Order: sequence, then structure tokens, then C-alpha cells
Amino acid sequence: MEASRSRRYASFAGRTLVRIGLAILGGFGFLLILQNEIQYNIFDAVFLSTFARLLFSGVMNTLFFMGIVIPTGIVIGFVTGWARVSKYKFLSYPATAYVDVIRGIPLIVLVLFAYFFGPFIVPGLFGFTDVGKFFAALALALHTGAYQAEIFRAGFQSVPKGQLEAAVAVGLTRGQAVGYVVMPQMFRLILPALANELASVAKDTSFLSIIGAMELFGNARSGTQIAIYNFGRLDWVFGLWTITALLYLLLTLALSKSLQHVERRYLVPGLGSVSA
Amino acid sequence: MIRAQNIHKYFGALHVLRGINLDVQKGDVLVIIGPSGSGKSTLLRCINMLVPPDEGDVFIDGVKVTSPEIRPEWVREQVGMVFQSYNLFTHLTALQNVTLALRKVKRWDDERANRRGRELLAQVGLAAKEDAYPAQLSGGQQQRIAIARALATDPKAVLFDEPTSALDPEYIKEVLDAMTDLARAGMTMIVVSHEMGFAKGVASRVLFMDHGVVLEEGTPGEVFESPKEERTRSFIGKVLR
Amino acid sequence: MVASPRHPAGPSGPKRAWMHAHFELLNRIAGTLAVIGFIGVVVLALLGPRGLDFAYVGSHYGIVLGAMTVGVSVTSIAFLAGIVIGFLVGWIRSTAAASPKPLGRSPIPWLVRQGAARVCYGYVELMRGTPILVQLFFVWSVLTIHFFYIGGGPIAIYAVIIALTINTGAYQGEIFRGGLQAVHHGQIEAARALGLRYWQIMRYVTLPQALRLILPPLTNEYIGLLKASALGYTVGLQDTTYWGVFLTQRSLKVFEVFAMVTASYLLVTLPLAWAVKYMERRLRIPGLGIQEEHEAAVRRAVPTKDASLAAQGRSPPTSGRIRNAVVTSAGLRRVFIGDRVRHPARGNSRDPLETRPVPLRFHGTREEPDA
Repeated sequence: MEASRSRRYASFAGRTLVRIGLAILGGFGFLLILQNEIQYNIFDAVFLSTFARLLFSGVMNTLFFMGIVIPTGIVIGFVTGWARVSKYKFLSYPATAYVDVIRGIPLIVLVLFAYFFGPFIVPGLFGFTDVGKFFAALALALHTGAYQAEIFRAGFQSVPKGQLEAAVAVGLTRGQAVGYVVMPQMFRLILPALANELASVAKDTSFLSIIGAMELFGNARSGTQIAIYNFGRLDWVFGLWTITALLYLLLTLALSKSLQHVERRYLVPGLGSVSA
Repeated sequence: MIRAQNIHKYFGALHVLRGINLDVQKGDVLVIIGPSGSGKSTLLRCINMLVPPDEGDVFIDGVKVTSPEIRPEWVREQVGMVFQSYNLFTHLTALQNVTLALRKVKRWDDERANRRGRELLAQVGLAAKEDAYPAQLSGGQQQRIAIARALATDPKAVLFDEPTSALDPEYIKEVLDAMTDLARAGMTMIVVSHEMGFAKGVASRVLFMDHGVVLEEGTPGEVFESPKEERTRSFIGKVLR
Repeated sequence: MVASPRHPAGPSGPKRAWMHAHFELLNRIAGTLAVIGFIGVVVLALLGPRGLDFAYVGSHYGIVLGAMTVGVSVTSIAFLAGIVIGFLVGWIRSTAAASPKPLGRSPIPWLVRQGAARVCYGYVELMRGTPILVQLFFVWSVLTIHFFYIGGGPIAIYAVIIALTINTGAYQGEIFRGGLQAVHHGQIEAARALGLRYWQIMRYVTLPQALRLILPPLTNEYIGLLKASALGYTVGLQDTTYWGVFLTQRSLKVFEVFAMVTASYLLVTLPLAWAVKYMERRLRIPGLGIQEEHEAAVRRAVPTKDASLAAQGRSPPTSGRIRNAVVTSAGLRRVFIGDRVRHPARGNSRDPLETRPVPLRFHGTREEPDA
């Protein structure tokens, strides 16, 4: 079934167009309904020009934070996940404790207290808020690391044990068996869950604005204050939140799609894709 | 060539292997039969040290492999294993499956490894499928690749753990044929199987195991036609239908 | 290259044997020590040179712990409301997914169902794609502006409850959908062939099996919702987090307050998490969901009297036969439910990767139920 490349692109474009069309229709419907409640018009030029820069810089900052948190989180998650399935309890016990505690408390608590703790741990560096923000980002990384540890653990454990057995039976050392046989398969298995987790990270960057970082959510919130107090336009508040929501939606969708693309590249012929 | 002395194995409180003794000469084909849970698979795994025995010793060509000084990887180079669920590496092609050990354990270069891999695949009749992934192949084909993989390191003996039990009936014959060819070529084999036809035709000795002990031992003729134990007789009666 | 049989240099003989024999015990001791050390290092790093102010903890833990009731009540209300929404959404999506285009009769009910399913899909994607904070503030803005001059406290609680309900409804929809769809279609067919009507099938065949798959992730969702309720602090909800921030800013005893807040949340979260693990173990239906390979291996070693169970103990089962035994809640224990389905298009492989995606379980909004 080798559809020609151009035909595949055309079909993809067609489907995307239909989806976008439906989304716009849905959005219009939603706005119409809201319009009855709180009369406003999202396409007001003044509205857009006032907030465009604010929102744009917010998106940039969000992407920046994501760029810091995600790689750190993956490293932490991988190492911790590995430690959790290790047969050496001096590795697995602390890892389990770490994961269980972090997953038991709200992220906002972690972020807030990292912010408070920061200046105590590294006194005198830069200014108060900068240290706090750095630690808050670190808290995000720790949090996602704990969840990713679970993902990696499940990945390690769902590669059938027979694979490890067979690899070892052929003479590979445990390390070789894991590196050449278990890991490649695990990687494929965890992609959907990892995509979900990374999307969550994108959304959780919004917590950073609570402590003062200027990312998308925080900027949107300042925007609403401006809308109310400087312009007196209450309806702009909803426009702002709607656009913010859409921006986050785009962000998470882009993340999921790119990971699906990665998944397609690692597809093994004959095996179905893991995400339905 | 392979000798097992007084093997005991416990899984928690369960005494799975109770004092097994085994002596296999070069070229022997030993078939082990018995009900599920009798410890046959565990015994196999004790021989190539996938599962270390709690008591007792295993000797391969005079080397005491149960000693902690011996590298388990070396043991597995000497003895190959074929699994009930094939356990082929799903992310590798057939050729890569067979050559993995050659490339990583014996450190052969790719060219040499691939040559040997192709030889082995041809031996089991699957030379054409060298670039196929396991998921694209039938169960019988997968199992034959598993046999080729087990032969890659030029082992002195090959262990088979119920190799045909998970296959569709139409594929059983091709796998048994490959095993028969191997036996005729003089390979030392220990096979756990329910295939009585294979046992009668190819085995030099048959063992009947039940609840962790060897209840009966002898040539195929002796065990199948005139079993001494009552348990053996009833088991064979049930399996032979 | 001749590989030598012996290990490269290392401890040999009796010492190694002793270590080997007592491995399990040494392992556990090392593990416990490692945890204590790990916690100790973290505490010391956070605490700094001064000691722990136990008096402060003693006098203030009441406020912090007591405020948990706010969080728990808000969460519980939203959770229960979410179950209603979630079940509806999950049910619509699962039936719409399973129903083919009707040929003879009027297509309108089918269209309506498909349309409703699409709307539900949009709802779920919207909730999953946007941060809870945004959802919370959206709701809060609507409420504030509507009841403009009421201001402050009461709004916060309603805003949080409503926002949490809408959010959890979507996630629970996914959970219910996953559970309902996991019941093999073949069983439903068989039940219909027996003459059972729709709601009978639902009650005696689908739900008993689906509930076993739904409860663990549902409990996880509750935990996640509780953690999300902490965000109520940003709109003024006076829960544990709020008091934590308040006390920290007032007294600067960061570690003490942090310890109290953490302990309060863990007090509710950890038992629930343990309950989930327990549920997952007890409620697991053999063959449906994740098969623990090593458990299967141990079962292989155990001689069982029941022939069907012994067959089940051998992993993997004989290739791709779909067993359409109709399983009622009474017969659940004895009949083996559903086997791995073989997809004709994908060949004869029985590689586990081919079957359902691994249901991975975690807390909170990060849930990825079988999708």
C-alpha cells in the first residue's frame, strides 16, 4: 500500500484542514454561547494588539522553561526508574521513597517551597527571586522526574522477561542484555506515556507564574488585571483566557504530534503501533 | 559431557527439584517428559545457570559450572537454549537475532558474524528471511530462527524447553524436523517435550520426571512400551491418547 | 579468542559464598540504611545549621492538618460529581466506538451518538490540553464577574469545585471508557446471542469486569484531584497550602512548615496509593491487563489440581484462540476470560507488544489509561 508521497501529504493536509475547520466551528459555537452570557467579541483589533506581545513573550518563556525542565526530568526519571528495578535494595529503596513522596504531594507545594528554600540553601547568589525561580524550575524537574521514573520502570518491566532470559542465554552479560535488547524495546513501549508526561510538564510550567516567572499563564493573568483596571473591559478577560487556553492546547498538541512522529520512525515492521 | 549431581531447587517454600542426577554423553539426545509443574523447565535452566541450583553441582566437560568462580556467560557459550515462547528479539531482524551473540560476546566483526549467521539460517532453511522481523514470521519460522540463534556460539550442547508446545499444529513438524536434523548431525541435546513421536524416533534416552524427581529412565522403547512405574504408565496413557 | 571460564579477579571462595548466601539480608539492610541516609541528607540540606524547631511544629500542626478537611471535602464533592459526568462520557464514547453504521434502519440515532461522542472527545482533549490553573481562573473569572460584588471567600470554593468537577469529568471519562472497552466484544456478542438485553448485559457481563479495571485508576484520579485542589490557594481557598504559605511568610521557618504541609498531604495520599496497589493485585483478572511474567513462571512451577488453571499457568497460552465464554459475575473465578486477540492482518505473532498497550498507572492528571 505505497500511496505516492504527494498523495499522502494531500490526504494529511485535507484531514488537518477538516479538523481545523471543525475546531473553528466548535470555537465559534462556544463563543456564540458565551456571547449571550458575557457579550464580547474576540476579534477586536485593539484587544489583540494590546496583548499580543504579552502573550507572545509568555509563550517564549514557557518554551524556555520547558527546555530546562524536560531534559533534566528525563535524566532524573531514567536514573531513578533504573534504580527502582535494580535488585540492589540500596538503590531501589531510596528511589521508591523519593518517587512515592514526590507523587504524594501537590506540585504547587513543591514549587512554592522550593522557591522559599532557595535563598536559604544558596545564600547570597544573585537576587532573592532569581534563586527562587531556579529552585522552582528544579522542583518541576524533580516532580516530572518522579513520574518519568514510573514510566521508565513500567517500560523496563513490560519488556517480556523472556527477552532478557534469551539474551543472557546466548551469552550476553546482564549489562549487554539490557543495553542491546531491553532498552530498544522499552523505548518503543514508553513513547505514548512519555508524550503524555511531557505534555503535563508543558502545562505545569504555569505554576511558575505563581512565584513570579513571566510565562504564559502569568502574563495572561497580568493581562486580565490590565484589562479590568486600565481598560475596564470585563469581556476581554474571557477572551484572554480563551486565547491562553488555545495556546496551551497548541503547545501540547505539537508535543504529542512530534512524539508520534518519533514513534513512527522507530516502528518495527509487523508490530502494531503501541498507541491505538 | 554434561553431568548434574544431586540438584535441589526451592522457590520459596516449594521444593521444585529434589535431588536430580543426570549424565549426558556427547551425542546423546535426552528427552525429558512429565506433567507440568514437575520441574523440567527449572532443571534445564539449572544446567545453563539461568537459575542457580540451591544444592548440588553441574559439570560441563569436567568444569564445575555451579562454582561461583565460573563466569555464567562462559557457560552459556557452551550450552545453547531454545525457549517455548521463542523469545526472539523483536526489534532485530532474523539475521541480527542470530548474530547478536557473535557480535557482542565473541566480538566478531560484522562481516564474519553475518557470514556465519547466514550459514546457520540456511541450515534451518530460512536463508531468505534474514531481513525479516520476528513479528512478520510464523511461529514455526520464529522457532527455527531461535534454533539458529542457539547454534551461533557453536555450543557443545543445546537445551530445548518445550519448543513446540506454543506452536500451531501446522508448524510443529518443521521445527521437529530441524531438531531431528540437528540430532542426526551429532549434536548433544536435552529436550523437554511432549512430542512422543520425536522422542521415539530420535531420543537415545528418555527421562520421566514428576514432582521434582526422576521417576523413570531408559531407552524410548523401555519407557514408552514397558514402563516400570505406575505413574509413568498413567502419564503416557493420558498423553498418548 | 578463547574466553576463559573463570571470572576476572575478585573475591573468591568462602567470602564470596557467604555474601552470596546472605545476599537477601545484606540487601535489605543496605537498602534501609540507604533510605535513612538519603532522607537524612535531604533534611540536613534543607534545614541548614539551626536545629528543627519542634515547639513550632507542635503549636501549629493543628492549623495545617485541620485545613486538610477543606481540601478533602472540595475534592470529594468534585470527584463524585465527576463520576456522573465521567460515566456518561465514557459510556457514550465506548458505545459510539463499537457501533457500526446501521444499514437498514434510520441513521439518525447513530449520527446523534457519533456526534455526542465527538463532542465528548473534544471536551476530553480540551481538559487534557490546558493547564488546570487556566481552567480554574477561567471559571473563577466567570463567577467573579457574574456575582461581581460578592467577592472573596465563597467564590473561591465554588470556583474550585466547579473547575475541578469539569476537569475530573474528562479524565474519569477516559478511565470509564478504557474499562468499558476492555471487555472483549466477543463476550457481548455471545451475551446478545443468548438473548440478554442491553442493560442486562451491562449489569451482569460488562460492569463486573469493567469495574475491576476502573477502580485503581479512579482512585489515582482522586489522589490527583486532591493535589489539584491545592491550586485553590491561588484564588483564595483556605486549604493546607494556603496556610503553609501564610505561615512561612510570617515565621520564615520554611522547613518546619514544609514538613507539616508535606506530612498532611502524605497522610491522605500514601494510604490511598497503597490501596491502589492492593486493589491492582487483588482485582486483576488473569489474562486481562498486564500479565506479570515472573508470576507466571512461578505458577508454572506449582502443580495445580484444576486442569484449566494449569493450562492457564503455562505462558504463553496456545496461540490466538479467542475464548468467548460468557462470564457472569458469579462465574468470574472459574471461567478463563478472553485470550489475546490475534489480528489477522498482523500475522501470527504472539509478541506481547502486539496486544493492548500497557496500562501504566500513575497519580493525578498525568493518567494515561488504556487509550
